[in-house]
Amino acid sequence: MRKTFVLAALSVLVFAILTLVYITRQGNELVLTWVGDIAPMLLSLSAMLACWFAYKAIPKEYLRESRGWFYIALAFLFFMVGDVYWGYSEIFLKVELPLGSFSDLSWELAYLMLFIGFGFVLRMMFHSEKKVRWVTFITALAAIIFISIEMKKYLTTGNWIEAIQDSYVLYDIILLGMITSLLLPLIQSHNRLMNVWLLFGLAVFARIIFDFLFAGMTAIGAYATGSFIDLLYAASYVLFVVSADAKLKMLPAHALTVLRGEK
Amino acid sequence: MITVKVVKSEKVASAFADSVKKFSKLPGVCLLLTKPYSAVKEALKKKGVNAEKIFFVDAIAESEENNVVHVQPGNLTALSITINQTLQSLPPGKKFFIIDALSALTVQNSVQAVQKFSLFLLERLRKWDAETVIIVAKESADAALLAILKQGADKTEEK
Repeated sequence: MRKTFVLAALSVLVFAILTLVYITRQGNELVLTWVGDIAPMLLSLSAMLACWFAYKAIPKEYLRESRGWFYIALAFLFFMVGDVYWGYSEIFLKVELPLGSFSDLSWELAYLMLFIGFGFVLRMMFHSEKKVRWVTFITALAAIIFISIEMKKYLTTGNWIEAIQDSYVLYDIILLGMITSLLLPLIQSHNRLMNVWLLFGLAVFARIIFDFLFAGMTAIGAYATGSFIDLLYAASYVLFVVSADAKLKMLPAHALTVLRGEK
Repeated sequence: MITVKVVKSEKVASAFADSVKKFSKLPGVCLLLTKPYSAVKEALKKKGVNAEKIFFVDAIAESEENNVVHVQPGNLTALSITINQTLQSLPPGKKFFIIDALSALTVQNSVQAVQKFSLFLLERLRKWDAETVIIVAKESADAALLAILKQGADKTEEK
């Protein structure tokens, strides 16, 4: 049995428990905090291990893709460190971490690694320059508009620490551009060999939606661990694990069943 | 080793079948750009090659067969991912990759895009160490595209 399959099964189980707790225990802050903090730790650990296994299993001739999975695994290591520190502070220190904490530093590094990993993944594919140019232009335009609006806000309020919170939205705008380059061609012409990248794209997309909602809810003080949007964050990890498992299924030891469309 | 075979249009099918027969003991992938799998399967059968043991990327028609995936020839990104995934999925060691026939890509893509795609593919195929045969129809091949292929190949055969 594939190691990543075990991780995928465990991740789905953790996600199911998390969903059940969120539906049935709204109002019980203690349970929500414990489960809401511990589940992401387990899921980010699973995602890191699954991506690491994918990295180790890819033949070395496929260097770009192999490096892509390596940096994505590294991204999940940093996501996990951030999640663990966040959870530790909430559960044991009983404090909600302020902006600019160690968790933020770790998550910022995680996004950097995710960009590098995603960059390698995109470079393993052929892209028509025309399409890429359009996506890059629209992404750059959106990023510049966002930075201009936010800079104006910081200059007015003098609250520069908010830049950390807003940086996640900026990263997501860039990720959205990258994900568009990946998903558009796959949606236009899909076959079973592209499932890995479709799942990968969906995972990033779920993370982007979460970040936008998180930033919006935090800005109006409506977010606390236990909010339903946490499920998107968790789902993103699960999709990354399933995507890594789909990747391992494609590799020589299991590939014939996939190539031949068997289950 | 990368070989470019430049043949007359009417000889593309036989050049393809001969190339597949030559490598049929190895695991491999064929990219079909001029004939669907159903037609190729019969032609290979006549040559004594069991097509079911080879994996096909069919850009002409969809197929229910287990050893075939369909990709739209106008979607070069999807094509590059499919080629990458199929070759990566083959057991380690020697493998082959045959294209029938690359010049057909210019029907649905601009010549410049196919030239860039060819450069991309040549670079990757060399890294992936696949015995490669690229068949090109003499009459339909753009001169610049042919030049790129010949320069990138280890061997060129013109018939």
